[in-house]
Amino acid sequence: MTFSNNKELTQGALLCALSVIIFSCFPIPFIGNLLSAFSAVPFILIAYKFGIKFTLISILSTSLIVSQIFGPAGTILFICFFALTGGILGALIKITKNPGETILLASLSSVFFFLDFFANNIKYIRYQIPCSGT
Amino acid sequence: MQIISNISDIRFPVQELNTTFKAQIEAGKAKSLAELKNEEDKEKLNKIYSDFSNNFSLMLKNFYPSLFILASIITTVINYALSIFFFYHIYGIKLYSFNKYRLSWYYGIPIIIAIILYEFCVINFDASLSTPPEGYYGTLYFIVINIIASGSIFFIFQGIAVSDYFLSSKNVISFFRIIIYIASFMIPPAMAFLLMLGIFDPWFDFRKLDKQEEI
Repeated sequence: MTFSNNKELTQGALLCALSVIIFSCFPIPFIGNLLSAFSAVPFILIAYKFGIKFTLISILSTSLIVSQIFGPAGTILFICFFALTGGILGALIKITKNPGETILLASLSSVFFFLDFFANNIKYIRYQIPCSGT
Repeated sequence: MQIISNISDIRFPVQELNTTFKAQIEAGKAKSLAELKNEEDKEKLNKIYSDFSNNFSLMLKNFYPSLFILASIITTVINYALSIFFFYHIYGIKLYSFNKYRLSWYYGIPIIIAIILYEFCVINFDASLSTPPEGYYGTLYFIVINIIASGSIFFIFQGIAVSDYFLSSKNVISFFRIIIYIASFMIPPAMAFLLMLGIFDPWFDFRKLDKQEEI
């Protein structure tokens, strides 16, 4: 993969940064969960415009930044629920025009990723989840 | 049948999740108790936290598959709805219009069967949240309530689509519409209203979509 156009790279980086900023709203009381759900939107735009390879690189780089802020538990939540779901949603919007199929497949992939990564590793990362009392 | 009766034990570590969330609740409780000085207030707070913890454990035990399914579906739909706006304003692409979303009537059949089976469980056993039944009927109850919980979300979206159709026809600004939908998710009676609106839409055809298709 070659980045012939710096504009693409800059746009991708800005969208990744936007996703991190939106996900950082997670600890805000009451509206934090809702706001953080929007962090998948930049990945939808990346996947639609730049393709799957570029999206995977974006997810990797964004999750590295997120891991520095939220630790492993937050990063797995971000990757499973938002980043990969957004990437798949963007790719599916490009491939198929049927919204029902798009939403169903993206939801199923989100559940699969969550069960596969989060549920199997929760006992190892239990103490990494930020507790309000600690 | 033995495999089916142990469906809740397959692979998914609910116990681990439960322990993790209980640790979160305990941490919050310790922090709140440290701030209080009156013994009566401490007792009250202790009771509130223990009730919340028990209810949460039971909810997780009964609803854990549908909790994750609902979370993923809601996240996906929110992002899809937002991307409709961004695709139109950034790329000039018009995606599927949400206010024409409609499920066929036969999607309601599994939900109706699940509700009948739920009633069967409730009549034969004390199948309330406080005393979840065990054995084969317990498994049936577990499957049925999860089908109802995860299936009804599609009808809630249909109800939102119907209300979106009417609000957009009245030229309500999209920002206020989004605020209304978010608020309706937080108010249980509003959510029940949207659910009923979604369930009855295939029969009553509130948006007159059938006539539009004929034209």
